[in-house]
Amino acid sequence: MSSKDLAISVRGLSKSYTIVHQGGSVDDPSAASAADSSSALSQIRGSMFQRGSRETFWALRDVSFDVKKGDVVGIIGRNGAGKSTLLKTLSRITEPTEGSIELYGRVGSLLEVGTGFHPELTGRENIFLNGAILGMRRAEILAKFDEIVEFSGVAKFLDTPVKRYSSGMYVRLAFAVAAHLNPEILIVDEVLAVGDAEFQKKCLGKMQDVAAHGRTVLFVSHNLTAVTALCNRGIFMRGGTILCDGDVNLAINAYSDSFRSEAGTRTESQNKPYGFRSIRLINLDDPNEMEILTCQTPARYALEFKCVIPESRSVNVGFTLINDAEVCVASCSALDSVQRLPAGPVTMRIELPIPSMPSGNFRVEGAVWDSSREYDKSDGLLFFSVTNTMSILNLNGSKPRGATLILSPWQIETS
Amino acid sequence: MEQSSSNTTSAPLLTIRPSSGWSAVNVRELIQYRDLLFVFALRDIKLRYRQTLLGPIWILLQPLMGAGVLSFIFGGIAHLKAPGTLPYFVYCFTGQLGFSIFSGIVSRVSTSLTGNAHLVAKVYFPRLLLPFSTVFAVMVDFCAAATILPVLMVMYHVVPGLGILLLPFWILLFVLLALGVGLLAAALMVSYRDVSALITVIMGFLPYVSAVGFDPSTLNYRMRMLVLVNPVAQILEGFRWSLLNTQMPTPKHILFTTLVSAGSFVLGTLLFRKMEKKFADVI
Repeated sequence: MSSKDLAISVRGLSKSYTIVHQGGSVDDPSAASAADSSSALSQIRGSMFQRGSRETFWALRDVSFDVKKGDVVGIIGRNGAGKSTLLKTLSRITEPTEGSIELYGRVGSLLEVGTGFHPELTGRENIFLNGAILGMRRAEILAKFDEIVEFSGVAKFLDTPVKRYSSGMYVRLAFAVAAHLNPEILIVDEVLAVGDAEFQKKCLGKMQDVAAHGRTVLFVSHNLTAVTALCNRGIFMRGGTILCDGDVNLAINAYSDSFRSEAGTRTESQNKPYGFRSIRLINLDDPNEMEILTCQTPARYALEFKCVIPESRSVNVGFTLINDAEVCVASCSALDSVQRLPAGPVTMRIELPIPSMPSGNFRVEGAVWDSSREYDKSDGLLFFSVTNTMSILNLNGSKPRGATLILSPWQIETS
Repeated sequence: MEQSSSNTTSAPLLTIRPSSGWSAVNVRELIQYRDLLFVFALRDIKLRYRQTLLGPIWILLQPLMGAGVLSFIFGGIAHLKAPGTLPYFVYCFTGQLGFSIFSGIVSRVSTSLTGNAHLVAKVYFPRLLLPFSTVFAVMVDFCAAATILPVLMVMYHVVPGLGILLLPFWILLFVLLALGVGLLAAALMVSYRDVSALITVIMGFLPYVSAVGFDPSTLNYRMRMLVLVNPVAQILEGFRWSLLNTQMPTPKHILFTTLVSAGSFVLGTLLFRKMEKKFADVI
């Protein structure tokens, strides 16, 4: 690749943070509450001399890649993989600890929608404020002002303070400003997480426009559908390093596989005082069979969680089922059907609605929390596949779409 | 859009590398971002009196009330005298006016980063813009409040001397001194919010050791020395001389205040630049 076509060149990029561990265990609520009330003095001492051990945490470790002009790169990975840190170093918000980045073009970064919006200022004033913060010159904003207003659709409320806007209007105006930022390299972080479906579509459309004009886009998202639709290249990150860099489908497969490889018993959380110890899928009719669920026979399957529950009135255990497209299919928590959870080690089972689940891969996210804190959380507790041949819709060969199956038969009357 | 898309050269537009130690102020970049400087300044000025009943009238009321309190305490209760035949209220008002430049800039600059933590964590721009932009709002307040002074001078028959020509010089010294102190405080406040409490305490007693409400020459020798090693008091003396034709400052006095103010500004800026790399990570 000649350097003429380069947009970004990253070499050996690393970023470290120093984290300080407090003397007492953070995960022990009794110790935390004791420190809260009885020994404020020891807390002051703790904060003044930063008692406890220091540890260097590498958010990015030796990351290298090149991006060509016109590439649309999707960066995927779980929370804590280093995606946001990468974007922050690329947008110069934070300095790398090692390595270098070469940027061949003006960078516009959009790490969130509406950065710098001030609630007391009017829509008009915020357009200028936000535009300038995103790096637009006053003349540029003036030239695009009418376009921005039209795109946002809030022309009527231009002289109203944005604190009186509905949240939808607020996001639309903020995105309208960002959409008219015209950099050669656009860096976008999970902005699709906000706003309704219509807004997300508009967002994606605008990014497609940007890409179609030969500009370079770097895009972080958990929405794999959007990544597939938008990007021609994918970078899958984990633990601060790049595990897969190439065709977008390749990266997405690597991402999905990463959940599969570590499903089942959790060992890394054993050092937490409370939380999940093991998770498995059991066949309620035949306890020996597991993993791949084939619903040819009306077998009943359940998720079995072994956890240690802290002593707390509001403690809850919950999980979410996520499908291949990173869409949340269902979520459920213990307090939905139980008054209170007993403290100590417990085994919890819940039957899954397997017959109404379409074929595909699923993963289980889970958390143990109460009103004040989170004891344990994992976004890859378990991975399983469903091959559902029970569905009557499958009989004539049409593949069912959607996150759930409708199993009830049609009632048809001639009229 | 100065950098057009005709980037056919092989040199990158920007190279990001870890930097270490001290770094100079990137003046070219500051100029490039000047629009943002004015946008920040305008935002501060606009927000100041939004949703208030009396609005900008507060700009006039605050120094008048402050001077009223000072002249009541020092002139009325303590029976101190202003130099010459100056009315005590005018003397206090002038002191209050000058001191407000210093205190206004220090308090606004010191909170300029933590008050905009969101921006610092999410967007890149030269960090110095935030503290620098606050100077505008303070100067607007100062200019508005200063319009009362000619009225008072006519009412009380006070005539300034030629010293008035040096007034911008004293204002500049106040701004530089305050920026230096404020920049250091702002940078420290990113990691240690304690600085905020410290600034409040210092700003509470500083008017008394800066002789805002009384003539330092009425103090005994030891107290006077204590006041006069304080650069704020020194600049204030010069500021009052320019407006009220009080005791003329000596060349030594002018040299000392100039060096201290310029030194404060340079040191504050350099320390700020040294610490700014960590801002986004710890704020």
